Amino acid sequence: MNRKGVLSGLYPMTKLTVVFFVCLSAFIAGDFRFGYFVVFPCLLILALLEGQFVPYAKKLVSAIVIMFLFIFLIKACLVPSETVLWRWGILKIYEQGLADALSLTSIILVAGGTILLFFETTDIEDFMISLQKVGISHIGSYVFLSTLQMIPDFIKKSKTIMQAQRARGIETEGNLLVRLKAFLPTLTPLIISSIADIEDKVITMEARAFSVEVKKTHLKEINMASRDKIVIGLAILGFVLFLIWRFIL
Amino acid sequence: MLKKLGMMTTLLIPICIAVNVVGGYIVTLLKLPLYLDVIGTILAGALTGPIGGALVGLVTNLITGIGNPVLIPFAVVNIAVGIVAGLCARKGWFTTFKMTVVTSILIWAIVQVTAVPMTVILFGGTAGGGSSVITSFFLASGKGIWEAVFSQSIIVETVDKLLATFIVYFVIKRIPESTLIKFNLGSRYVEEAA
Amino acid sequence: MKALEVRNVSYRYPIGKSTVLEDISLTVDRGDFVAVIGRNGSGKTTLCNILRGFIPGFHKGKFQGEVFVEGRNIDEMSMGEIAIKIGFVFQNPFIQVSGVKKTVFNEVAYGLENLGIERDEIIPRVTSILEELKISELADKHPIDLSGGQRQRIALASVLVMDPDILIIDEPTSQLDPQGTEKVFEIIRLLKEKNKTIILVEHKMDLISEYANRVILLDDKRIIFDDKTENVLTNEAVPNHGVNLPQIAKVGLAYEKRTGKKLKRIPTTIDNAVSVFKELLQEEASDGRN
Repeated sequence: MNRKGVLSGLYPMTKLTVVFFVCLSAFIAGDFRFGYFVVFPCLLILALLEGQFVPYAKKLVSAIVIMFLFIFLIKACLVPSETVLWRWGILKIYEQGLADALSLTSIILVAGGTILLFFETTDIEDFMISLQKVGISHIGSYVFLSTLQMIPDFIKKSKTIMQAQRARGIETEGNLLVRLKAFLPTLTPLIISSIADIEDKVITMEARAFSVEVKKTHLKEINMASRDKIVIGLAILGFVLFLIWRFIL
Repeated sequence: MLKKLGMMTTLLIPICIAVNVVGGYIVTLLKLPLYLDVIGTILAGALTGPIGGALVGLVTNLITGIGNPVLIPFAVVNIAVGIVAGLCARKGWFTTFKMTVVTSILIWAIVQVTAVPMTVILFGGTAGGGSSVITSFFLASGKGIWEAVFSQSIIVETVDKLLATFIVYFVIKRIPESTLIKFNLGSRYVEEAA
Repeated sequence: MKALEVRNVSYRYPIGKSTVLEDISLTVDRGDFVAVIGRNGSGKTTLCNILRGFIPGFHKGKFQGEVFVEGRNIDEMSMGEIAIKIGFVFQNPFIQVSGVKKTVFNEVAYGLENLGIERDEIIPRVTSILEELKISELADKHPIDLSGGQRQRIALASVLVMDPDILIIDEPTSQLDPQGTEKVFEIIRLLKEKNKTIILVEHKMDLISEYANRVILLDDKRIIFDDKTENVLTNEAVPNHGVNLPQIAKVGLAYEKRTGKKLKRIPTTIDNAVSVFKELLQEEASDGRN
């Protein structure tokens, strides 16, 4: 998000609206080609324009490739149906199974791909502010943002603890039981110390007026611009045209 | 809703979500054939009740879903775990070793009941993890899709969920009493100790 | 005018077997700088929590008595009113961050956002507090990347930006190195100049004697001394309650004891000491001439 692309510049709710309509379209399209040959190339092009192609593609691949392989294996090869499309030794591909796999994966591709692109091009803090503007509690936003800072911190600390455990002679390699035994002393100190800190953290938050019941303001200013309205308008128009094409024509 | 639960719960939730994520992370570091990624959900349920547990379950999968949206629908499983843990905690079923056995079985059961249909109906039998090899094996040996996914789930989830529940049981024992009593369900654990 | 008043307060923590404070009463006038001293476990932090309403608001347990803030019962005040009136900073610099902000500037602004202050007002207020506290150069840093001393100054800034009249500061330097301590006390000096009402828990007696105009000594659940700084910190009974006197006062007392002569006053600060010993030397010099 260093470079401000077109998508990064849009208001989070605008993007979310588009994500919603695209996913809905994929569900009612009833044709795997919509996902694979219409939406997917569009997503890749958008990611490319955004300068996010490599990280986006990497995340998408790691999220879905293995899953898709198994879906095809299970649906098309392992669950028998009437017509066998192709056979090679004991390996068979069933026609119905292949069709099912294609339509399922196409929906997953659209839903996963659009949501992933949304998060790749949206600052989470902006997203939270926009959620608060539509009435989500600032507490919810706090929980979300605080978790996002806490996770990397926990990961760093767990590595440190594990190193310390090793130095004290606790084995972290070896047979299954040995490694399992190393799990507890790594995780529990982290949990206990964080929980023990909660009371002081409550006091910190109260000292910062967290529980004061007023409409919270935001230092960061994000607003819907006219281009957001245009994009939402286009999304709705596109969806209506899609419905006409799908059900009337 | 969060406001009613109070500040202790509000601040516990991010910790529990991070515990879920880091639990899963340490497991990969130690190359364990387990998940251990619901410890935080169970802990939140145990200390604050079903709502806190459910919230941890929900937000965990929303956050991991940022990097891998396929995980978002599985929030249902995580939420169910939090609710069951919270209901058991209300009944005081985390206070003794024996009752924790019951709790762990219930948590295990709710995972089966939610995860299996989710995997079969939504994802055609696989959520993409390494355990899908087991599902494929059962299918190849002629079992039906439901039976295959269910068998796979029993194999990979049983030890995992029992262990996760007992880790929570031991963690609660080590939280200082003065902190414990500030949680909605905390006094249950203190009375037991007294 | 009274800034804070405590009437007959007793308190016992929910798990604790005995009371921490028993029948405490005190008043703090506007503009007072009160130092609270006492051995570990004497109830200093408990007193701070009572003054801020965290007891009995957050810490349950058995609470008796009443607390008034500028004449109003603290029970009747909303969270927001208390947050604006009383700033609160405590020991651990690593816990006192919101954990949701990515820059120091945003961190300091957080309290104002929570109070619903408009953006146009937040920016100048944060900017000026950062300048005043001489931490403008940290504005764009991530709070996580800062040292303990820097974090403690950010914690102070985050509270001071809300411009509270009263400040409760509980052992702000106990986890800091000498340099960090010095910088925190620079801020405290600034607050004193601004005539804020300050309640400071601190172990460093030399610093207390320089800053506070009044000292409260807690021990055995009670207030043992509550008097002007120079009276408490020269009292030879103070060490019996687990607290040291300032080094300078010890020097003065030792001088009296060893020489049998009475000093004009026992010094508690470096300035007093200089004037006391200057006079003493002049006296001796004139005695010598006679």
